[in-house]
Amino acid sequence: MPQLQARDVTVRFGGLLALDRVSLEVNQGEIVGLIGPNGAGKTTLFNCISRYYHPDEGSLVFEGHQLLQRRPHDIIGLGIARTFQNVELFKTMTTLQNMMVGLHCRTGSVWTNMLSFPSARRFEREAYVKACRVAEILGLSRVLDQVVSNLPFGYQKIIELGRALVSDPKLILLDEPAAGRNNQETKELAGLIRQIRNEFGITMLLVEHDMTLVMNICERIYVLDFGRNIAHGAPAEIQSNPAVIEAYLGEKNALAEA
Amino acid sequence: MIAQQMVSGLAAGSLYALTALGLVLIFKNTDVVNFAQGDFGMVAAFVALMAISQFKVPFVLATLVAIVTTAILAVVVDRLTIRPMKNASMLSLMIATLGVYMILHGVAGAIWGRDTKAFPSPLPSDPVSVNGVVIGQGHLWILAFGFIISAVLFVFFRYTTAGLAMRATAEDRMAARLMGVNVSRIFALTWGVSGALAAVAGILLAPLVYLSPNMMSDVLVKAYAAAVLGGFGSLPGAIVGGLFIGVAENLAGEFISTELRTTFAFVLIVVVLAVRPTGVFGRRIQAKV
Repeated sequence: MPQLQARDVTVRFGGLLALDRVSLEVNQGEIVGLIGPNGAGKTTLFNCISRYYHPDEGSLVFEGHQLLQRRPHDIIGLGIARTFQNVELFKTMTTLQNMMVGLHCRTGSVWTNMLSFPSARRFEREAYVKACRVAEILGLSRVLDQVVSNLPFGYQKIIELGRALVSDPKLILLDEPAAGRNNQETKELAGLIRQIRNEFGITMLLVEHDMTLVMNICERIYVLDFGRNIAHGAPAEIQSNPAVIEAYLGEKNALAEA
Repeated sequence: MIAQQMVSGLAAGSLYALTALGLVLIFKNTDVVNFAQGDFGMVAAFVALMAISQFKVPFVLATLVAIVTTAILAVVVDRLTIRPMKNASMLSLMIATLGVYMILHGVAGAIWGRDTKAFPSPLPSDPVSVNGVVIGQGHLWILAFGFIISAVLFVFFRYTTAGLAMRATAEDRMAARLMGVNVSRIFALTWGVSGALAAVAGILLAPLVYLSPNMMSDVLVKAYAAAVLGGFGSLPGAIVGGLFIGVAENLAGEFISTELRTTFAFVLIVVVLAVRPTGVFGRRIQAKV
């Protein structure tokens, strides 16, 4: 049984069919890519999984939980964390504070916390230690106490990944993790994503335009075009798939380079 | 003489600051400009008085009861009036809180009467002399509590995950929700904390004035001015703004004219805002293009 299963997910924005019966399966511990031209509906699918959008039809199941019956703030507690295309960090907070928010889902109730029961206080300390450990893995130790809006975009994307990691996820949705990185930095990112999967067994589902990265680290790839599934398979199959080449016409080089 | 006016100005300013903190908290986290903030303090003072004089509850306990009652009242106000209007414009929400203000006013008048009542305080109130400066102890108590509460809030927002969750909600509601923050609980917490802050201000003010439904009106207006001066969105700004207004009006009263003390304070505010329209601690708002 797959860890995450999307079946016939359909989203309409007025007359526009953003997702048209999209299905996808991700197994525990896999690195799966979700690609497609701009506007194909990749981020829309992410937003459905995060419960930011409510699909008009279809179902989303994660480890036996019907996601569509959950509220947005419950999703991270089930073990699904994400990053955003345009970085949604809390800009006035430091790196450390941002990561501590990622731990919020494990704190239990706001009220317990507020009254600062001993368990809550112990939790704050553990939260701190954990955030520091994640920062070390991601190479963020130096910027822990810096306000994130002062840091370069590449750093901010990694901090988002850190915030996701701190929440003890089983699955991370990465929305364009390589955006704003040069070749060398993208290579490092590939290593990091693999390391996270290998060491912690966290499943990775990523939307990415950098084909080198996708072909390099993904074990399976789903391709969307105009809100539809058009192909699915191993990187090599995808690269030679005529439907995919057609969809990327004009972006053909992107595939060829990879 | 100046020192004396400074101290009583800081004391009055602490009350403005406490009330302004509640205003700013609610505005930052829920986008509501709350006109009923002052009346939460008025209700708290009456509840404390009733507990003490009618039910013979000891002062400290009565104070706690009043703070908790007010916090609950604020949460209920949010649930009953603001939450059902969540898609309304900011102006409609403002009018709704104005309605709450009128209701609390009327109900308080009906229950506790419109005639003024004295509030017994167990804290010693005779003036003390520090280095030749004569200071009313009531003022010192207000200053002390104002300071303690600001410190507690500072620690809460900086070091606890609940505080961080609250800041996260204020900054990016959707991202906070996706990080697992139960936003509606944060709203309730915000109203509760703001209600409690107003309660503290009301009870601290009570021994210095007579209790009446109007007792917080002056404080509320100045708390608004303090919040705006501080940039309406900055908690340190609310504190500095409150203290500034308190000191400015006292010094103006001493050196210019007692009649014009408040007028002068507000003239100063207009001047400051003319120079810095976003307030002293406000951030420049620039739309993305």
